[in-house]
Amino acid sequence: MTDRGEREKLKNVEPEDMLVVVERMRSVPRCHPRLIFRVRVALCSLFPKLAAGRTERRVNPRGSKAWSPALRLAAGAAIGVLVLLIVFTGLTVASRSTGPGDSLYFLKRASEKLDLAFTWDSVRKARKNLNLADSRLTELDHLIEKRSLDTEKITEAAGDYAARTLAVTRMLRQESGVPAAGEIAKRFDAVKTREQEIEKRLAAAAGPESTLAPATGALVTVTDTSGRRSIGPGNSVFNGRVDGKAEFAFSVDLENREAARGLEARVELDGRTVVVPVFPEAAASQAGQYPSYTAKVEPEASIVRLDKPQLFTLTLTGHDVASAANRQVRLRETTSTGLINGSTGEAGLVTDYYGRCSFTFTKTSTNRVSRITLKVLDGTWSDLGEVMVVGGVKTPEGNTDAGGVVVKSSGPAAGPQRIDFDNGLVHLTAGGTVAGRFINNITRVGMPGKAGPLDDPAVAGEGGVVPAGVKVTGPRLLFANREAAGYEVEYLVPSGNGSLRKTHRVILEQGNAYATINSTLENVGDNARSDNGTGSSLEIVQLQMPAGSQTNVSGRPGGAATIDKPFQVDFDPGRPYAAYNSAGSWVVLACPVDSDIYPDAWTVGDHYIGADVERTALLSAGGRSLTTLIGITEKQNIESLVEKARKGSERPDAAAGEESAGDEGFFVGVAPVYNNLKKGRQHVTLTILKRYQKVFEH
Amino acid sequence: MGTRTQEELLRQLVIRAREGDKRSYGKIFRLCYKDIYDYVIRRVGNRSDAEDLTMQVFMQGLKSVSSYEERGHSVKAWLYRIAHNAVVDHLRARRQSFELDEVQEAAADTDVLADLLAREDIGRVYGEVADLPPAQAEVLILRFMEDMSVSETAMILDKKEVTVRALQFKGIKNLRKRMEGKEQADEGPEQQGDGEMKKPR
Repeated sequence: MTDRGEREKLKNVEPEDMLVVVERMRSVPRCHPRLIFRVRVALCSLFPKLAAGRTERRVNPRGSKAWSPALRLAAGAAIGVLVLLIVFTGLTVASRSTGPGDSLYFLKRASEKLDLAFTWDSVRKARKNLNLADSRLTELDHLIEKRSLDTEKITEAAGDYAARTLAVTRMLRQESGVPAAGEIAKRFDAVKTREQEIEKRLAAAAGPESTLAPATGALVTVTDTSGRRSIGPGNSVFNGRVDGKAEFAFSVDLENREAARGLEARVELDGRTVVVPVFPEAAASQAGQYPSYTAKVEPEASIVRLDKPQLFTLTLTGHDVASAANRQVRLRETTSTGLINGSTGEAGLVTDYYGRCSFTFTKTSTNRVSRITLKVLDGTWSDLGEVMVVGGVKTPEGNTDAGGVVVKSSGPAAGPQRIDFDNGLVHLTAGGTVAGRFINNITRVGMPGKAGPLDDPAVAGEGGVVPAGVKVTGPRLLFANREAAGYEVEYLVPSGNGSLRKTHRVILEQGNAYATINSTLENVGDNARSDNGTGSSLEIVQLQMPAGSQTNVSGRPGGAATIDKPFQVDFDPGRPYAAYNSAGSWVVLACPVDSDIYPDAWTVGDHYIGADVERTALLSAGGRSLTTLIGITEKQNIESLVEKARKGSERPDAAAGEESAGDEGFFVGVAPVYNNLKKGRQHVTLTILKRYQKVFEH
Repeated sequence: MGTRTQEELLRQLVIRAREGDKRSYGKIFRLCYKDIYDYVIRRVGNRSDAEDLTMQVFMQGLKSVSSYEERGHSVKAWLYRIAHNAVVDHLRARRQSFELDEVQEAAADTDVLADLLAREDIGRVYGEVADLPPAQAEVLILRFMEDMSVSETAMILDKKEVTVRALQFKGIKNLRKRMEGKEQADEGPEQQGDGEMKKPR
């Protein structure tokens, strides 16, 4: 096979298929060496000469001197003790820089405990406990940096942190009168502040999928609220603890499947409690709520352009948080006028922990309204019907009466006009020769018998001529995420060092006899965001940073610098970032923006994506800023980085919502599912997980 | 940033080790041996062989670190290359003795990654990778289980980058086919017993 042939083949690989296989390969856990081997490596690496000598001896054994047995024994014992001492001291010193999961970490912890055990003075002991608590936070910090978010490692460090801080709390409570108490309390506060920072970083780094850990040791009490059947061997209450595999099993005798409705599980761990129905579907159907899902697609009033993908977020809400989490859903476009995630027809998605999933919709055809329906897999596929409608309206024909058209914005009355806004195509016609503006600030009658927004009096002269240097783009067809459609015209007018971008959008909605207009004015050249007046979507088509803009690249000595060459980058509509390739490395430009899709708090910085990004740069001009990520080598990382940053910014609010809903950070899964339950004795296993965010005690 | 920091540390250590500081070499190995062990056990599939080979890599690295040359690849990749050569020698020797000692060999392999196989799905993926042609398996293991770049993989295996990419493509394609085939088989009326570990090549 020639190189070219291979390259052609590689091009034809479907990236999604590749990713699935690659991700599954990456999910294979690493093989950890045995303790005895770890000790062997530690010894040999500490004393390479010894290891070399041993190997050489094995290959070329030397003869030994004829020592007497007693002398040999004594010498052997002495050498043995000496070697043990050296090895122990060496290993203890070497273990100081270890962290959870390292081979010598147990030695570090053992020596710390030894040190604490031989400290009798309570103040000194509290100080040591504080130092150790701080060390644990540093270890957690390193784990986050290394992205080594293994449950065991995290809980090992966090568990000891909790024990150390508890010891300090006790000391402060019992000996508040000692002179050093104030100083210790001050240091304790500093440690607790750091704890909060680490906890935030941990939550951000773990990501929604990785935030669950086995709730080992949680007390589970299963009760039958209906009192009709027995749980376990003749009891109506069964309790026990969650095992190391996050499982809790019990048996139940059922008269029939419906009899499982009254089963409730109460989960208690670390002072947190949650009560959930064991079979939520059964409980919901009992309450007449089934199907119990509602779905919302956001943004609701976003602008969709023809053949341009637009990002939407679907939020599924169930009767509790867990029921909408990790659900398989199917979105279907029923009119063949658009693409979901780039494909026609149907797209399968899985919701995240918060019941959300994102998808893109591309309007591909003007001739019909696009209708998107949703199904949710919950044992069987539940049909939630239409969740989204995009574009296309048809106004009554023959609307030639001026009285039939209401100009929403104020301005001189329009003459008799006809608006045909049919299947996404715009036809505006003014009757007679009456001069006047069709819609305020947008247009006027340019020629007898015709009207339209193509000549803007703010730009063009009275004669409707576009001055030299002004670029007019449009009209472009637009569709909104509702039964509405419209168009957009854009003018780029030279102004000073940069230019002014004026954008006009005309939207006509089903049932309304009037059009609404959004007009924006943007100073291109010294800013990085636009404002369309509604805040519902973001439009940045082009960003120009003029010479003289300030840049501040991380890690550069001397702080901010001034760029000497202007640069320009194109943004996709609706997405506040752009990417371009520079010398083989992908650079992402991202803007903090106000938008429904990308909340104000949204930023892309090294906080979330440090391991993937070489440097970050903050560019600012005219009071606006732009974050630049430099040194990403794989293009596929870009989408995931931005997605990760987006999720990171959403999580705190989402988490707060769950707390108030009483979820308390537990995830409870059940096997078998309700639909597979049978009459008679059933063995039920609950899988109970807790969230990482709660790794610290409060 | 953690990986980058570790790589810088390794570079500093290798400079000292090249000048004869054996403790620096020891530290290099302490930082890398888990990855090397992980790679070796995935290739040979046997814990005791993997431990011996890892120590062999340690000794071989110690001998040759004085002639280490920075050629744009990571220090870890250099150790991986030594590990790869050791594994190839080992597998060649094992193939020669396999026919003579087949029963003993099979018995030794039963302890292979038993903990991995406890998780059926993951065990299946590993089993399928191990069942691929050796050239594809070693590329996939280095690329996606050991997170080596294409150029590092090419250096370790002494192959051209384009060959590595082609093997990666074929490997993924093969693996996808096998996994799909297996999933369809599993959806049948009876699940097939999968208690036996496939022997990596």
